[in-house]
Amino acid sequence: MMPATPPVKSLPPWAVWVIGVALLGAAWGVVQLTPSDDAIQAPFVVAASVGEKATARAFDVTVTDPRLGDTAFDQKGWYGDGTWLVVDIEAESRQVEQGALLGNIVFVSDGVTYTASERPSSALPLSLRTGIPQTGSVAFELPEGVAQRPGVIQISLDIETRLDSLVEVPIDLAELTRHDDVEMRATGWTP
Amino acid sequence: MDAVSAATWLRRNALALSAVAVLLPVTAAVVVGNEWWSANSGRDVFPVTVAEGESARFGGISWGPARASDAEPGENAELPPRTKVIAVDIPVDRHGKATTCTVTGLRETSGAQREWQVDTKTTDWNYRLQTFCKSESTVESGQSGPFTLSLPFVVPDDIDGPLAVDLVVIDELPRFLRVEVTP
Amino acid sequence: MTTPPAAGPDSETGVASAPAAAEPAGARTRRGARWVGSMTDRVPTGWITGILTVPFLAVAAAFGGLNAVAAPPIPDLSAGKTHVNGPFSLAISRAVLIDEFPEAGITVEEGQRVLAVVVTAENVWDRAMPTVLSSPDAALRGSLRIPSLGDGAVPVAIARFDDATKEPHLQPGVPADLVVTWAVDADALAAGDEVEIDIRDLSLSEGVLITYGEEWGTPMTAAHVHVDVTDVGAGADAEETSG
Repeated sequence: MMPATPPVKSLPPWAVWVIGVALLGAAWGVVQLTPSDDAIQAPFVVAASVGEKATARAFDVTVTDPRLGDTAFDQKGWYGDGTWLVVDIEAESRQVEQGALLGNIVFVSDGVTYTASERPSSALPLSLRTGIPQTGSVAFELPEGVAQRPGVIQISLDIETRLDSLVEVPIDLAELTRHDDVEMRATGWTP
Repeated sequence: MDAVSAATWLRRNALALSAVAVLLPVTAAVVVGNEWWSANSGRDVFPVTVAEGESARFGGISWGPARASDAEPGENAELPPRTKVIAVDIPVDRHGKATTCTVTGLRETSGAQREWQVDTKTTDWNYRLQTFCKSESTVESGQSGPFTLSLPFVVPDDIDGPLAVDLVVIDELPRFLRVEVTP
Repeated sequence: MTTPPAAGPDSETGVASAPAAAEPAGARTRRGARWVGSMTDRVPTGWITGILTVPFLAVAAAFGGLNAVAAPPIPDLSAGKTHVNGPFSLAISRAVLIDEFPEAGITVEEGQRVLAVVVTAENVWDRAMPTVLSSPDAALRGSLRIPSLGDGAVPVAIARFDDATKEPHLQPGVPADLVVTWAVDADALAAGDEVEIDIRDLSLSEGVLITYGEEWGTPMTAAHVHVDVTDVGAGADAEETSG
């Protein structure tokens, strides 16, 4: 004994098509907006310019005085020929001293990553002190072609940058004067 | 389902339901607690606080009234600019045992809670002064009696608020000692 | 479910056959087609693909498609030729026998000497590469072997030629002269001997599941370089390093 079902009212065909296309469009939009899998583990970027103090999670850092030269000298008697980008950094820890070791400074240009050279005596790795800034220099050994292009200096505690702060400082090498010699500072307390 | 059969179902399953209501949160708590314990039982998590000027007994050691003051660094010290040295003296009595203790650091008790470590190198501290409790194979080679920990910290010179020194005695972990001082 | 009898062959043969013999010829073909149809009805549809694969493979084998691919021959290079092995572009310049070479990061025991090979290397990848890692099969150290040294085939140390930096990192696009050293028995090699150095290709693998990032590994011998060895004795003035 089934009760009589009322007649079903259906949408006109044009309405069905419009709704279908609209949903398809919305699905396309959602796919475009969805971040990629990498985004789950992406670092937290802190953007700063040359001379500006960047506040990361565990440290503050300022990049100053980028200079480009054919020969780089450090304060312990080393020198190297080639194309060298030298920058000064001033860094301090924000909260704790234990485990606060600044170890990763790279220069990225055109998708290629150049790490701060270990050949000279440089500021890396830097044991950071809470509230007490230290200054030093790092040098990047670059191929000649990169000296005319813009790039970004990235600074983090560790080479593993996922899910931690990453300081990014853009530098356009084409705007820097090319010197014959560039000198690196000794690492020490900021005066 | 109508109301009568729902009530019947509840009544018939009352014992099981109450068991689940008890066991489910207990299981969750046990699992979480177990994981937390294995991750943190060896770290300094729970502070035992000693107020300013008080003494306490912790880990078999008597910690006397602690005192913090601005101190002069050694002759060959090269202090960074705009910093000062805070020296914290803590009298310690190990009652004949060779219990070891280490200093985690000097910490602000308010605000950003920043922490500094003992720095005997930059302050050119007198090497004869004790900065941690040494372990000894025998208790008669000195240090079994009371002595004073003399801890130098290099801090920015605008620090003056209430501070505390965190100390760790390994057997007492995850509890640790927090001695409050004001310079 | 029975498949409907194929209408194609019926109608085709029906049209193609001569009208006079149409009736018996058409009836025979139609019966033949029906027999084929009822036979294929008994074979499960899924098996048809499998059965058809056999003649397909047989034809492919007949053309030689199933023969093993010959491995590409390993080239023999002379000193100075460049070979790209993956992350590095390497050219071996010369090999020198020397009594001791602590500046290059190698110490040898009694009865051993140092075989120092000068390699011009350039990083052709997109990030800085180390030359030495803890695994002997990794980085530049994993890319070079001297098989005639047996257990001592792995390089002991790598250092820069210009400033003697030990275990240097190579920046992308910046070539460098490196001194790669092996420990050899004092009587194993002499001046004028030819030594064969193998360059191994590395493959890039990407981490999955529990590993993350890209890594160069699985070295495979890809080139033999033949270099004549010179002997500089104690080598006081031979490989000078600055800095």
